[in-house]
Amino acid sequence: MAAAPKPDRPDVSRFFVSEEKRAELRKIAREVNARAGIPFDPTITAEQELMRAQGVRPENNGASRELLRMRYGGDYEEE
Amino acid sequence: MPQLPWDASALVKRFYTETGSDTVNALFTFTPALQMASTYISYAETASILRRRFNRGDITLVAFNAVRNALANEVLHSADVSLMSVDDTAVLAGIALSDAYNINSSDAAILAVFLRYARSLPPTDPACVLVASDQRLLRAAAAEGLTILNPELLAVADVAAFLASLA
Repeated sequence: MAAAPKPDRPDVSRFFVSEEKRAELRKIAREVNARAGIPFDPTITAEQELMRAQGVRPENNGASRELLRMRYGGDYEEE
Repeated sequence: MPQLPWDASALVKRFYTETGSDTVNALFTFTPALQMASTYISYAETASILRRRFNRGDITLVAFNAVRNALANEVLHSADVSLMSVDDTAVLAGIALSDAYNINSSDAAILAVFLRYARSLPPTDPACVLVASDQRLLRAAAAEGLTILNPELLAVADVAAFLASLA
């Protein structure tokens, strides 16, 4: 999405974080994780089997429901 | 291929197994042809939710470390996900959206950015599709003319056809 615009295309670069800024923010994010005791491992990708092995029940939607509680408190009803 | 801005309510399904996780995973397999985007706010929200699940004892420390690394690797460090700026004008523009749709201010600001971006594109471009499972946010986005995708409601077998229909 953030590629350099072609001459006949609108310049949408203003919507995106620049690569320079992004590199700075990546460094901060690594430091934040390190302070939280999360060892940096650039090879890990999302692995659903890991969650299932933890006994996480997909039908509970535990994470997204928690997020909705954070956003709306008790005001959110599933619709 | 359409462009997919992600809200945290769908992004978290990539890192925590839920209804719709299979569909989210299928969408990720279409990168880099499928252009994806999110915001630092959504990244932070997702990181925070994963921390809460760990603090509640729902996942072990090993799993928590793994998913927080995976989140960073697949969103912050990946060239496949662009990150959009949520600036002061978006925060103010979001007030009209929170007035109209009863969404909170940070979600409204993010939606304002997504809408501004989508409206800046030529009409001949592939659709810009908000991926979320937050029903309020989805309703607001749809009412504003944005195409929406709730991974809880799209079967994994239908992902390719759905994307093709938007191209």
